Amino acid sequence: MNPIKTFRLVVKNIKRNSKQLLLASIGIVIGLWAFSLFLGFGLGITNVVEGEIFPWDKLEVIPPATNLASTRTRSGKGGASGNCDENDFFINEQPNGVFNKELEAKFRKLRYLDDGVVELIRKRHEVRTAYPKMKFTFPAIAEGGMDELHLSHPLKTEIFADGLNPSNLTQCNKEETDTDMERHREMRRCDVMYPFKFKDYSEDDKQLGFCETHKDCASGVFCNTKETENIWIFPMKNEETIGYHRCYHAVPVVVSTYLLELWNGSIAPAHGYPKLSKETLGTFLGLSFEVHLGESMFSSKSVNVKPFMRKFQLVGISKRAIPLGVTLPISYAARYNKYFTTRDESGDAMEREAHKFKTFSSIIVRVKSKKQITSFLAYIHRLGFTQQDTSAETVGLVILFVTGILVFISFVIIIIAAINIANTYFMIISERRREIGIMRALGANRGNIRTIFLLEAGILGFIDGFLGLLFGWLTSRGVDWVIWNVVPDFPFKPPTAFCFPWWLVVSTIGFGIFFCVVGSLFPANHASQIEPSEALIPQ
Amino acid sequence: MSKPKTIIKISKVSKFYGSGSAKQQVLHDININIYEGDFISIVGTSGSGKTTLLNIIGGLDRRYEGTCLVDGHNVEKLNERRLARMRNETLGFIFQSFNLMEHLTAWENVALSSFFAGTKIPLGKEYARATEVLEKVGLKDKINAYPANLSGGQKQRVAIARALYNKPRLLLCDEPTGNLDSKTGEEVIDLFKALNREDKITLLVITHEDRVSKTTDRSIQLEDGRIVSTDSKNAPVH
Repeated sequence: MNPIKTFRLVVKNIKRNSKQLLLASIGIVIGLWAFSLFLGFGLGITNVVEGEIFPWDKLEVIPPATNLASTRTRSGKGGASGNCDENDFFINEQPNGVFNKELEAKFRKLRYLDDGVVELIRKRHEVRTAYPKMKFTFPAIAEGGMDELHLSHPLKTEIFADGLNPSNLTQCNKEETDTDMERHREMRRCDVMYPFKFKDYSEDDKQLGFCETHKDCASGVFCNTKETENIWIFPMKNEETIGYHRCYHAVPVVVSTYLLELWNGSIAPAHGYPKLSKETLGTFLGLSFEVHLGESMFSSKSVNVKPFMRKFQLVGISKRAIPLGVTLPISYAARYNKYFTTRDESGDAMEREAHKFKTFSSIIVRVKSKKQITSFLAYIHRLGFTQQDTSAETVGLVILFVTGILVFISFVIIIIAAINIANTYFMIISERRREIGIMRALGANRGNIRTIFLLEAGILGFIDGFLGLLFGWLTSRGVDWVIWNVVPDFPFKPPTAFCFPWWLVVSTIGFGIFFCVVGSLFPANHASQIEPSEALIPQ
Repeated sequence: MSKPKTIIKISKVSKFYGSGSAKQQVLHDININIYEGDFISIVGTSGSGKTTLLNIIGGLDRRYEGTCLVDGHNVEKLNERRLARMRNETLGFIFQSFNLMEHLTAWENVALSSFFAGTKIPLGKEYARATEVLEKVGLKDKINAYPANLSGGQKQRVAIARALYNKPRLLLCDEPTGNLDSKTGEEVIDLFKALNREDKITLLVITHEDRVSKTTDRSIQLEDGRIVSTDSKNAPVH
């Protein structure tokens, strides 16, 4: 049979039986609508979870959960129960050793995350980027924002913070952008934009002059007017030493887009504060607030040295920032951590706590592909480290499970609809019995008759698949509209809760064709077996 | 003058319907020879077995006893594909109730056989050929008309055009004038005569009307599945 001519004939047949076929197709369309909608929703939510909330390619490598360091120290020095093989343990007893392949082969377990470990990880073929982080090992309270956010009283909250190497952020120092559009584009691309800088200002501060009040210092520079803070700092060498009545730069910090989501989704609606976007947050860049280092809202005896206050200044928004808190240059974090470590009688930080300011709390690793996560994690575990549990896998499994159930339901609908298609085709064939006889008399063989009916079913399935997909897409637009206009804001509210990748489009239409063809297979075969002499008997 | 080729040779063909005690014989040892260029009618009352015989000749019914050779091929022994090809290329069917596809236009009905394997008409020439045969049957102005908009006579002409589309050598007509008034019926018979005379097409017409059988070269009378007479007064000398 000529395919183009057969197609034309089949299209005419479908047009003639359009009402019957339309009714029979409703089930298939509903099933495919549900299939595309549910699967699209599952994929959309998975995208949000894996892309925004728990990025699949982002792993946080952390030291072993059990603090073997203290155990080792006690058993080694005391000699009481030191039955461990020395080779089983760590060669970076002293952090920041130099590693290479030969050394790597020698050790079995590492204890600390230091520069050597960062280098080892960066050299792995699975790794796209790796950068270390150093969390505050002491409590801190942030206070401020009253003027900037037009509040009746300052915001005061316990704050978490970590340090990040400034080279790990995208800092744009272009002084002027030509257009607003260019600026918006730059804001999306850059973590920190001119005139702000994410850097350690300790060297610059040495060039600044004396002051009585903040007004004596330049914009963005503050006056250290609290003498007591330095009493605790002075005895320590190479540490935070801002002179009394000296100007100093505020500590530059960046916040996470996650924090922005949390603010917009939960805090702002709950307290009636204004919502912020990365672009509008640009107006808040430069906002400074006081951070009381070493103080806690939960405990008055949080640290063993005197707390002090520093001005922090918001200079950017970055995905690399700590999700809940602020991220500052890592050198600040190291100095503050050192300041708050346990001291000996002479005021020096105790050696057993050196890891708090010499090593990293975690290394953020981005892997190249999902497939490589397993091998990379195996490597990390071989080194003796572990992965920060993000619950991503659990959430992913729950989504997969729920999506699976919904897709199963849609398949049940489609299968029932396919049975309905079979029934309808039996009716159609009964009505077209004479027509089959004519075609046989004109030279159609059994295969031709079967092909005509299957092709009809295939085209019908294509139309059903397309309609199912179209309705699914339209419904998704509607649901998105409801999410954006009716449902209250929540963190990580996505621009769309759905995802329709090419394979979903193809599979929806493909399933439509498949189930219609399967449904009509038996009737089509039955039609091909009709004897022409019987089919031509007038009824 | 050389003897024309036998196009249909029926030997001892019997046909039964039903089984067991309900088994009924509708054809009894039929023997007929039809030659190329013949214009033959098979006459009989309703239930005499005319249509059954036509279905056997046309390969539409292959459950019979005896031998039926069409253009030298044993219809019973042909495989499905070759039989379909033979119906497409060699035979043309015309039915009492026209059997047109109501959702296709006149020319699409005429060109329907081109959908199937074995068509003699080259691709892209279907419309031209359909126009040609519709013109031949006097329906050039109804090319795009749907059957619902045609009279009985016009429908039968479309059916004739459809049968002629693939340039068959044998036309099998089952009561072609049965649903037509006498004037239109005569027109159709005249058309058959012309086809037989000018295009040398062999025609086998099943009818119960004397006025039709009288116009044919040879008339075979069937009664209760048996040939009771063969009138060949108009038959050419072979």
